[in-house]
Amino acid sequence: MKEKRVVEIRREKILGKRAGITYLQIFILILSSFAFCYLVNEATKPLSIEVKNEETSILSKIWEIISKPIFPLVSATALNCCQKTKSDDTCLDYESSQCQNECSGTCLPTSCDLSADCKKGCCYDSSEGLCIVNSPKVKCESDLGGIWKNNAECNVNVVPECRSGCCVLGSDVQFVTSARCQKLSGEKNLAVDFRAGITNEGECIALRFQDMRRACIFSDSSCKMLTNNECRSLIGRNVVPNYLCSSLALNTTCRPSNETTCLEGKDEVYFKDTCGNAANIYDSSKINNKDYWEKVIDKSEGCGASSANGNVGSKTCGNCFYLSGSKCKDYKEANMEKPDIGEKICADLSCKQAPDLVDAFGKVISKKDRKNGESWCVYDSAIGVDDKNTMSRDVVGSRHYRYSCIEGEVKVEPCADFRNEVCTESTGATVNGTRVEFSSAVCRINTWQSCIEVNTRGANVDKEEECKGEDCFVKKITIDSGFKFDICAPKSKEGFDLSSEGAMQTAEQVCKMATQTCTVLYKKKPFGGCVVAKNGNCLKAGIFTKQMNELCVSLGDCGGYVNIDGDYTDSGYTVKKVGKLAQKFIDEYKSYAKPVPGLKVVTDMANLAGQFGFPVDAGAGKDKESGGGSNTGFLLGLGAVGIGWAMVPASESVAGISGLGVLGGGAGFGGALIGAGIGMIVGGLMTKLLGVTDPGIAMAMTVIGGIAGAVVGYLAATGACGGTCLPIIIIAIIIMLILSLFGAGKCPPKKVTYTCMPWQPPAGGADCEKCNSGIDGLKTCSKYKCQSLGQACEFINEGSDNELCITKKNDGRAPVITPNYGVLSSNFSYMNVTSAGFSVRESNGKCIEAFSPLVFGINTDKAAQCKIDLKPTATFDEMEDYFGDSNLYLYNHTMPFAIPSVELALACGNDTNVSEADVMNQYKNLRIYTRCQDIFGNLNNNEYLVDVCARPGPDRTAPYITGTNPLNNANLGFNTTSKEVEIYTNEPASCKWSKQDKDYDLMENSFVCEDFCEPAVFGWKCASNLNNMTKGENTFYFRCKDQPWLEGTANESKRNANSQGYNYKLRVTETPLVIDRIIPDGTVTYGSLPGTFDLVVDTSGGVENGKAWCYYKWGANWILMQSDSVSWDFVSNSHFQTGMNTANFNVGANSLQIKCTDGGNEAYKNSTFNIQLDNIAPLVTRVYNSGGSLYILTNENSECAYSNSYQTCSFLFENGTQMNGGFTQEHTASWDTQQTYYIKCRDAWNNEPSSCSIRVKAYNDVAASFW
Amino acid sequence: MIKKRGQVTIFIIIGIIILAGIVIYFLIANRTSIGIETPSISDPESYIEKCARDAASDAIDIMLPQGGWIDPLHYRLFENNKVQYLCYTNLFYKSCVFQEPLYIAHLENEITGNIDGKVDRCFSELKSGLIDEGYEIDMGNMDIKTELGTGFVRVNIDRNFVMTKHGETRKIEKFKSIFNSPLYKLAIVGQEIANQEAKFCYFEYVGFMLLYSDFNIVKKNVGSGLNASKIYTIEDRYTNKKLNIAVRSCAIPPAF
Repeated sequence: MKEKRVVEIRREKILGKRAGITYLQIFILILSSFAFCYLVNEATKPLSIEVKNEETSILSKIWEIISKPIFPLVSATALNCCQKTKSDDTCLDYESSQCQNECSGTCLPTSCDLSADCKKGCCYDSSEGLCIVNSPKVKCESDLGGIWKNNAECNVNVVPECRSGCCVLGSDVQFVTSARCQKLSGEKNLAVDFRAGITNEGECIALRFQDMRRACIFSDSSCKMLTNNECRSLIGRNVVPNYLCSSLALNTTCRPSNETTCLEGKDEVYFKDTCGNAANIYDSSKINNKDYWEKVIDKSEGCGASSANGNVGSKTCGNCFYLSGSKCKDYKEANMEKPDIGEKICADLSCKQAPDLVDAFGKVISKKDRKNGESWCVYDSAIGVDDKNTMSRDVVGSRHYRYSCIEGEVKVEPCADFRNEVCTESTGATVNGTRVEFSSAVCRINTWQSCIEVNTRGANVDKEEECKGEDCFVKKITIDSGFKFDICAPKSKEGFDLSSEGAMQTAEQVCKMATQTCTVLYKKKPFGGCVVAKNGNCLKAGIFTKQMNELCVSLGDCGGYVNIDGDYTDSGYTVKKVGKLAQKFIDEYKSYAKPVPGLKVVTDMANLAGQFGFPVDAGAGKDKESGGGSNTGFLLGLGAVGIGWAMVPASESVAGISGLGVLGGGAGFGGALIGAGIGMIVGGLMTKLLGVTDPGIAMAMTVIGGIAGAVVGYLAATGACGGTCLPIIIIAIIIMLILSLFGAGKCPPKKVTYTCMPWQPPAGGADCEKCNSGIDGLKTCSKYKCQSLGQACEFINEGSDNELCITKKNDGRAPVITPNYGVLSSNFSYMNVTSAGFSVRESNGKCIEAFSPLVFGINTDKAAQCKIDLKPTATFDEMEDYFGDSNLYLYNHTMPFAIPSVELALACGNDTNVSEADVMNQYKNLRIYTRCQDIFGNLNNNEYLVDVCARPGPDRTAPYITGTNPLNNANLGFNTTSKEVEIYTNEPASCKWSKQDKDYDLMENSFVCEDFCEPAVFGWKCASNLNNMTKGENTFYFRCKDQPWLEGTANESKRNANSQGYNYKLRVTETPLVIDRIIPDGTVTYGSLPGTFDLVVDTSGGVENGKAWCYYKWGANWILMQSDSVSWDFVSNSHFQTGMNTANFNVGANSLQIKCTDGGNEAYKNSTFNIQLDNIAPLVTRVYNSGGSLYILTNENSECAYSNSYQTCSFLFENGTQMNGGFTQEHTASWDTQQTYYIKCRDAWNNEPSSCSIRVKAYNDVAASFW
Repeated sequence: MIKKRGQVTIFIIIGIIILAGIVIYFLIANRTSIGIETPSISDPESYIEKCARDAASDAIDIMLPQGGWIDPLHYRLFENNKVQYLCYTNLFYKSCVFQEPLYIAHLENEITGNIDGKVDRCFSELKSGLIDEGYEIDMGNMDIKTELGTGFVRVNIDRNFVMTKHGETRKIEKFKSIFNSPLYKLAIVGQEIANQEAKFCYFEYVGFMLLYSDFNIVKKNVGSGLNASKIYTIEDRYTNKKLNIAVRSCAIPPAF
């Protein structure tokens, strides 16, 4: 039996000195872990320098929540199809809310493209031989008798009737369909000469340069120069090959003369014979040369054939050439010297001294000679970005123009107003190794949206990489080390429609992207005062205001900038705590109002063809993820720009000196450790208490606290404290106080704010008339240009030939201000309304409770701009802010208002001298002083007072959750196990979550909430990572507790917590989203290029059995497929994009990236396909006689027809005798030895040979002969 | 002195000759003009031919600046003309939908619809005029058709017209009027412009003019936002007749 060991517990052992040391060590260990955690927390907490986009950051969150597209604005909304509109239009799509108003008939609940009757296709007009694209089925198949084909592009691969060839009509040619050629030939009574082998318009037109006229001799020996076809039509005989009517050999009545003539449809000057026929090209040296009057001499062998200017003004040679800039005209009409013979001359079609640089009002600054057919860009002002990439320079009201020279006349084409089009120019090309100087310009769409869109792609987007669109540039803000970021901005920013209140309110959101706050940090100077510690450049107007204004101006017509007349206004921005823009920068802006020599949007000639517009239905980037659908979506999307801006934390570590406690050992070690911990906590607290913001001083104080604590702790633990500890503590505190006095203390940060708003024209209308001055039509006045010149400018008679910019009448009185009852939040009332102001109160007459969402407003009896201030001011300009943060001239002015509680105000106030009583007093007497000015600057000198008193008092209501991101019941991707979730509360709060609904204090997980001192109009944000999710539905409960500043204080009990959890559900997809099929796949063959194909994508799995939105990648953008742009919802698992143009792909191998998303999952797949061109007519591989039939075999499926008379097979295929066999490789016809078979075959793409596929002559003794 | 008198006489004679010349010119000119303007009712074919020609010419003159419509319903005001949209979409960023794919047939119908009543009135006037001259007139129903071709307009009128006087009867069944007009050529170009706008959102009119120098084309971007439209004015360089067409395709909203 084992002896039991008895442990004796003695009292002195438990309470003795050694025991005390042990307890102390245990206590130290426990406490030190907390101290360490606290230190780490403090050390890793950033200081409060950050880039704040106060308004847009909220919008950006809402954007994330609703996650709706930006572009296109209308097409991505649900569209209804109207078959017949009230204005008699056919098959137009309208937004569903609009459709019934516009439609006189049925409004279909789908887009027209998905409607059987309104689907767009190719309308073939068989009587004219014309093919019309984008034609509604119902309209095409009306009683006018069109034939509708399901291909909106009229692609010849689908509608072979639309294949064009060269139709020779006498001496004229046209590139048309065979049916049209038949019609035109019939009109001229000519036999059809359709050359299907010519598939290029240029090649066809070149035939026109050949002189196909020959001598057609009549029975009475008279003669006319006609084409063979014309001659046969007229007299049934052929022309005499190569001969002129004046030929002696022909013995006609026509003889040479000393006259010359022009010929309709021809460029050259011709000699004229005595019968009035045009003979050979005029060459004065050949007037008596008999040979020159005998046979037709080709243009290329005529005089001056290689002349670069087409023999302009030559007295001796009439070989004019339109494309080189000359054309036959009477010398008087051409204003030239008389030629040596006759009166016709090669007139100059170029434009001498054409306007090259023209200001916005039509004044020509410089000129330049231009060739016929040249086009070039002319601008109103400086354009695009300067060399240093600082800002987009196009001034307000400016426009791009394309000028062109046609037959000596300069034509002016204004590009789309509001700079929705930019003019881009190529100055020449290299042809066969020779540089040809020939400007070619186009007005092409300004893709400014794509630049803005880049900023919505998220915070981690590399702007340098993504902002590479040809209309975009990276605007770099580099104000200070703690305030720098990049933004993708348009080179030629868009113009705002200043006259449209709705558009301008939207424009405000664009400008607000540049509203930023820079926090300047200070540290205390030794011996008093504060000195800038961080972001000091934000206080310098020359840096902060300049750069922020450059950003503001680059986003649109925003900020302080100039109009086309060089008038600068600065009501488009406000700054706080920093100066306004310096005059030298304003002067530089003013210089931008004039066009700059040589400054053009340049492009390669080779690229011009692709710059005419955007691909049909590409819709400028209908990207539901990155682009928007409605104006609202767009607006909100713009807010997301804020996300993309790189935020540079200015955090500096404080302390983190964990090793300090590692001193000594045993009890000494423990004492030192706990002492260090306590000391550092005390030091850290003192930094806060004393308001030390300088990281170095904060660290020093913490270290001193730590050291002192460690020493005291060690001494206490080893029992050596005695009377030593207290002096050490006192010394440490004194050192800290000295530091505080000389190097630390209260140096509150300064928030410097730049607010960007829409640019406003100067008041009044003194310059309106300048818009009408467009000299000789070189520049045109427009609504945009007119309204940029003054607030009182009005563009009238739009659309008439008397468009004018006039000045509105000034009534000379100030706007009358009244309360705006329409916008007042419910449960509130206006009281004590007089002409001098009114009060806003709760409906029960009490002052307004904290955190009550209040919206109130004022009306003005005419459009006016209103400003406010919380203190009385002497002038309008002195007033601090715009009413409702809007600088627009409006009738209805609205102001959202959220009054923080007195407690919050005190908790967040920087000024320790302000007492609760002070705040309460301010709240009770909260007055908003208001002035409004009309477009002429008439304003109320006596301020209009709005009395908004706040009600202080204990907060007894729990907070509530106003929104979540993702939305409640959102779907998450396959295999998701955790998700970062954001919630928004109506008042500052701390929040927790759990999978069961339980008391706030019992919930296991906490949200991290943003600084409650930051203003929040739409709610305070908290975020947490919800984890442990499984497939299917996952339920969570959230609860919040208000007044977080009371946490851990004696007043903790005053906080109000939710008594019921917020039920939040997320559904994890059970199967992945899969792209099952993409068409095209493999090889796609075309008879001619460019062609089109339909992109089809099938999806399965995911959130709802494959219902998704699918995109194809185009350049850097994901373009939403056409089928998915018709609804906000995921409607289908089959997605299509019709009319993809092969011109945008390679002949050969191609790859197209596809992405599909269903709100929870994303799937990617590549489509690889080959584009193959078959433009070769079928070949006859064998011909033989069998069983009394002629057989021919072809190398591909084709159909064949023959004629027994057309030796060159110039007959129309449809007019030939069709061979049996149909569309196969074997074709038969009856065997007739009396006939020769002129056979031509064509394939599925209507590829025909330019002559015969084969000519077959049958013999009795031999099978056949062919050649 | 004698010399002076002689000079005066010569001046008077020259003056009289000039005056006489002017009078004769206007007389001849007037007579010629009257002869062209008013064919005799005794030649019913010429009478109706001129009537139809005038009516159709008037209709074309109305239609040309209005995009090919007599009474445009959905139009863009341009230089005081209501230019009907040939291709239109109310949406932004979208290419236009052809509103009159069979444009030539539409123009023919438009002319026919406009001249129908006028030609019928001419027949009535012809009838009453001939009755005044002692004819008995028997008129059947009228069927009128317009045909457009390159450089011409043809109006075909099928109507039994029987005129009897002194037992002598003359029966006319078909009347026709052909006259020169660039309408067809202009319309084909207009349709091509709209076609390319519908397909590419763009028409390269400068390049087109280089290839087809018979036409002078001017493009104007007019209006903004919902009213943003393009007006193309196509001019036939030989006759200087102009056709306006309006297109709203791939419009971009101002400020969004």
